[in-house]
This record gives sequence, structure tokens and C-alpha cells, in this order.
Amino acid sequence: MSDDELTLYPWRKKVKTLPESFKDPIENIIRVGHVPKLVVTREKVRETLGINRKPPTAYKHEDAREELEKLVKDTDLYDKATWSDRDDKTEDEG
Amino acid sequence: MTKSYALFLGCYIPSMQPFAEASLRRIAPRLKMKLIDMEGATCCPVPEIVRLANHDAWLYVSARNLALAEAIGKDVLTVCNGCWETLYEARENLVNDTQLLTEVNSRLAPLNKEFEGKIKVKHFLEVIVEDIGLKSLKDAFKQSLSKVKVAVQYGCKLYKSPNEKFVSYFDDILDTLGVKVVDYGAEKICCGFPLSLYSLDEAMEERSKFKLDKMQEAKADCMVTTCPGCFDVLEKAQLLLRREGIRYDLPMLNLMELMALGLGFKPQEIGLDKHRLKTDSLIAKLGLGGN
Repeated sequence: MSDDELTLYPWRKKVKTLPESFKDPIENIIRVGHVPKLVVTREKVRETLGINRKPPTAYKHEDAREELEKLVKDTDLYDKATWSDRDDKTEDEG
Repeated sequence: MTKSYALFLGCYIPSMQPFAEASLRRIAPRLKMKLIDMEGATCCPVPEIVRLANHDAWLYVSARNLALAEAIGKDVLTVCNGCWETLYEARENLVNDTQLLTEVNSRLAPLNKEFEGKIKVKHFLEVIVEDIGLKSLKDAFKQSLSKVKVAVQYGCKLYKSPNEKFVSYFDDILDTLGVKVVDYGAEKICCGFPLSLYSLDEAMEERSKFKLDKMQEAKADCMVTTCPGCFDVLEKAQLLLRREGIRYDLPMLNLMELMALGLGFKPQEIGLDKHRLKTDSLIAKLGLGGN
């Protein structure tokens, strides 16, 4: 949220800690380039429909995902969405 | 004359709803549209999550996608309400603030990309009505859809279009296709997609179920939308509510699929048999045989 939007929507709060429900989609965006992962069954459906098995997006182009990751690393979102939190949590729970 | 566009597919259509993409790719040549794939496009990124979490990240990633279209030299065609919102608003932010544009381009420069603001962002509805024209759509029309009663799920973003013109465009296209639109009285209620990011159960109970009840009461044969997010959550709701013994059997179509049927494509050609919710009742009503 930009500072301009804070003026427009004064009840909104800046996100300091990423809500748990945001972590999976943001992790997917950084690691895949998109929110949903493309599963093999859907790739097969695409093929039967006569369209490319992999869409011509970051699903197909790893370099595109890498570029997105670089841009996100320029912000604090990358740290907020860090999966090391989750690893620590898993170890604690374990 | 054929019109060319830089096609921005988004996330949900290519991965979860490929039948909508197949429909678009089939109908485009019939409507004299040339689609140029934006190779290497990523998530727009999704406004309900990324813009809220970090505005800069949202803007940088949007700008990269806009730069891809600008390198193609064509306006962006978005087929997702959320993608339209993100790319349209990101573009507006950038072209109206030179300092911001310079700052964002400094982030894109290491990727050998730049956005100057030369291209525009267009929604599918806008392209059909303003660029292609309803007359051309009518001229390409082959299969009567007059037996079908549809409930329209416009999606919240369409109400953000200038003067809500996309809502009117949606109605105009359905009118041209000759389908009957039922008034179910909850058109402006959110489908529940943003709420589903916090709790799918709450989204289903507080939003989706309310809408689906209303659509069923209005005796709609199917629901039609241009929003993959609405499609996803209302489809999930129908499937998951069955566990509670609630069954709607309301087939769901992307508008591009309905248009493909009207343009004479067979249900199997565009993947109506690939939906998670059966579309047999709709196909039968259209007299096009079962799946």
C-alpha cells in the first residue's frame, strides 16, 4: 500500500507482518511466477485442447520467474514472505 | 482489418481454466483478432495480496509485465478482471508520475527492460465492444443461444471501470449473443474470492452460498463471468458445499466459452467436458448433445 492510499483509505493499516494466508500465494508467485502451480493433469488437459502444454508465461520460462524474484528482492516483501520462518516452525513442532 | 494484441493470460486461466484460453484462441481469428503471446509474463501480480502486502513489489512486477507488452508494441489484452485492475492501475500510476516512472525503470534496467507508457491496457469486454464491434460479433454468430438463461457474475472489478462501462459492455455482448439474462438481485455482491484468501469456509458461507442460492431461485441455467477468481471460488463452493448436502448443479462458463459456442464451436472443441462441474444440462438445453 502506498502512502497515497493511506490518505484515501485512512482505516487501512500498513502490513507489517504478512498474514499467514498470504504466505502460500506469495511463495508461489516468487517460486513459480504465478499463484497456482501448473499440475501435470492440467498440462495434459491443455494438450488435449490443442493449446501448448505449458503456457508461454513464467510456467514455461524459468528466466521470467528469476526476474520477478529479483524485483521482489528489491523490496521487503521477500523477507516478509521468507520461508525460513516456516522451517523454524516445523522444527519447533517436530 | 485484423487487430493485434499482446495477450496477457494471467495465472488462473492457463493453469486452472484452460478451456477459457482454448475458447479465446479459437474465437480470435473469427473476430479478426491476432493474439501475440507475452512470452515470460508472470502473475500480474494479484492485487488482493501483493498490492496490500507491498505496494512497491506490486508496481515493479506489474511494470515488468507492461514492459513486455511494450516491447511487442501492442496494447495489452487482459482476460482476467484482476489482471486488468492491476495492469491498468499500475500503468495509470506510472504514466502520471514521471518521477515514479524513472524510479521503477531503474529497477527494470538490470533486466534490460523499460516501460515508457506507450501502450494501453484493455479488458476483453472493452476490446470486443470498442475495437471489434458488436456488429462483427453478430456477423460471426452461428449457433442460437436463445434457450439459455444465464446469471451474470460481473465481478467487483468491472464496477471500477470508467463509468462502470464494462458492466454495460458485458450486457451488450450477452444481448448480441441472444441469451436471456436473469435478474437474481445479488449481482453486485462479491463472490467471496478475497475472503477465501483468509478463510474458504467463511467465503463460501458468507458470500458464495448467498449468490448461488439467488441464482438458483432465479432458475438460471448457468452462470457466466469474465473473472477467473469468481469462477474459481464459486466452482469450489459448489463442489465443497455438496459435503453438507447442498447441491446446485449450476454450470459455470467464462464469457469466452459462451461466445465460442455462439460462434459455432462444438462443446468438446473448447473443453466444456473438462470442467470440474458438469455442463451436460447446458449442452442438452442448447441441443448440442451431451459431453
